[in-house]
Amino acid sequence: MDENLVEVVSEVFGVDEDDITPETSPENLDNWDSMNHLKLVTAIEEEFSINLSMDEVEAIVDVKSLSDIVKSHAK
Amino acid sequence: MDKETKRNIKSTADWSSLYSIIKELDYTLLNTREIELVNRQIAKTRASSDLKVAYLSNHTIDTLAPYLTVISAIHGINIESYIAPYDQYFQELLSETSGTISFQPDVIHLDLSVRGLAPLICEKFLSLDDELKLAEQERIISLISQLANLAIKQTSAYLLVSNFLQPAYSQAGIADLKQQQSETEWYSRLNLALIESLKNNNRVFLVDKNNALARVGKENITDSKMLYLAKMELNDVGLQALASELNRYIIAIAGKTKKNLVLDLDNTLWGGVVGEDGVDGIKVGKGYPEGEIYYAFQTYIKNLKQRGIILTLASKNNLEDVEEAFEKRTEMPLGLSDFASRRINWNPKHTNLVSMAKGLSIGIDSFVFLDDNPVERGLVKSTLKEVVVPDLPEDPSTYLNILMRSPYFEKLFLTEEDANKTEQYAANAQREDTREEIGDMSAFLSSLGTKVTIETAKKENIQRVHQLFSKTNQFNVTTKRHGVPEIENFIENEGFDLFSISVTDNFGDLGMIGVVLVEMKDGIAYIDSFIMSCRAMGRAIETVIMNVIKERYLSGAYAKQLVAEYIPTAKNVPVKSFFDDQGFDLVEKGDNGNMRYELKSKAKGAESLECTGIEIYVGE
Repeated sequence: MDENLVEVVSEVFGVDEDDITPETSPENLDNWDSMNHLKLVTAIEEEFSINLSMDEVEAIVDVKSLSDIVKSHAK
Repeated sequence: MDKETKRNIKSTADWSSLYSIIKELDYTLLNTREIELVNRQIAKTRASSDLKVAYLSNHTIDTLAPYLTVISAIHGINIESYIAPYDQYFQELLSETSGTISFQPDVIHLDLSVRGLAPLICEKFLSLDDELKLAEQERIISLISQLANLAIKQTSAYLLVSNFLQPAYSQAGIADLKQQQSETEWYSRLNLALIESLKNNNRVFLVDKNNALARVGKENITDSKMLYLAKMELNDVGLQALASELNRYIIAIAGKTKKNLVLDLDNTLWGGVVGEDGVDGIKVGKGYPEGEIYYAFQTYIKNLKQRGIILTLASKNNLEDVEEAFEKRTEMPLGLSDFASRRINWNPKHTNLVSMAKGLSIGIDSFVFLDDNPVERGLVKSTLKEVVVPDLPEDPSTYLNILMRSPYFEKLFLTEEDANKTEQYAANAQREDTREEIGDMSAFLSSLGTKVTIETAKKENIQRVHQLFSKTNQFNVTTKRHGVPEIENFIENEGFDLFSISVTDNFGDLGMIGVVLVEMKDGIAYIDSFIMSCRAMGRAIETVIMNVIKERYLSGAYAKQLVAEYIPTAKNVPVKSFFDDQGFDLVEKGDNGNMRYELKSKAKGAESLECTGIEIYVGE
């Protein structure tokens, strides 16, 4: 996984980078609530200088889907 | 923020080590996750907070709290926050058991949006009839007044009310201003009515959110996606702008307002070096670009003086050159007499600042130091950590913006005393000179022609009384920081006597320089606070006041006994033996250095010769 992405996720949720896996999701991470979900979107947009659409924001269901969305912007 | 700073922040174990790192940060450069990181560490390392802030809103404003917490932390204030549930502002203020009430906030921020309060205005302004538009306006104003009254009644907090954001575009386009009832007027009138309805309440303050957000641009403050997803009306740019405006209020409420602006001269207050370019060569004045820069800068600084900020000079120059410059270049807004203290010599500036603090009797932690020279700034920064030293960029035309953005000089109110502060401090320096000339202490004191007035504090003076309670460090026996709500109670409640002390002398009017608060209980009069501004110290005024207090409380009519306490702080050493000197009996000495005193007979006391020559007026 992209190191920067893991760093952003870990900082937004306040957890160790080692604890972030592609499967990390609101289901298994207490801090991933709706407010932090929005903070994550803002932080990702800032870090990668991209703009996520509303559909994309709603399609982020775990770290893997987030990573895929970020990658799709990189092309 | 680089990786190392992040790591250092994360590894801090207490607030003071965290503060020592973050005070160097420029908050305007922090992104969302850096704000989160610092915010989390503030909460983690917090042993106790300086202020508790509760947020009430009808839009999603949860993310404002981290911004304000971090910005205020960078300014040395530790905030603990409570965010009320979305749209629950009324219930939160009404119910005795709500989260807000039980949080016991020091500050409540109320931020309502028209979108939530009156959606019709935002959606269908063009088709609403004029009567309805006015009715909506009145409804909003009366709601806010009601909320303000509730907050005052239910809490002892300061209430900060955001005004309303006028949309970036009008629904009628440019034709709006030709409409009978235009949208532009609707928002302006709403905000105007808010100012009028909240102005006279000493605990309620309007925050000009509409202007604070206009500074960064109304097109930049909302992320539409977040608005529709989560009713989040402000993005990180908007949050930062609003939080930095709120921080100005927080600084004033926390009593962190700076008192003294120390200024360099060459290339700071004027362009060029007077010692080299000559009196006629320095650049300041109207009519040419470089002159305009320094003219504008000096004009703003002169306004700071009007706001009660003491101006002083620290410049490496020959005194004659500087005196000649001020004498001849009369187009300069500032004159030499605008500076309460001057250190124009070749000594290191930090030495000058220390001696200046001593001469003015104010703490060096209330200094802001402005100098174009990075070496001078660096020296002061490294030797005097308490002094605020803003970085000045290369381009002098931006100095003014730096000063305007700086929140250090904010006060909740301006009083008449403020406008004359520099004169008062300068007069003090003059009195010091007279003291040297006359030599003999009592002769010196009589030569001053001091007139002291002691009277019951009046409601209209509450702002100055509050200033004395919140800002006096040295002559303050208990350092109890009573806020406006408590002061209101002291004035109204018969169990308390709150006295204000004013002084005039041959050199000028010192204004209200002291307060004494006495609580009466079971025939005993407790001196809760005895406070005097440092500029009135060393003139036996305190003895004269204490004689009045003794006369009043020991003659039997109000009380039979006086009880007083001295609570030591790092700064109130000057009053350590105050009660001993005034003839009180020490009855108890606490482990923490607290000392408790009693006095039962007015016969006992300091019959000081120094009191001669002071006239005293006891008013009601």
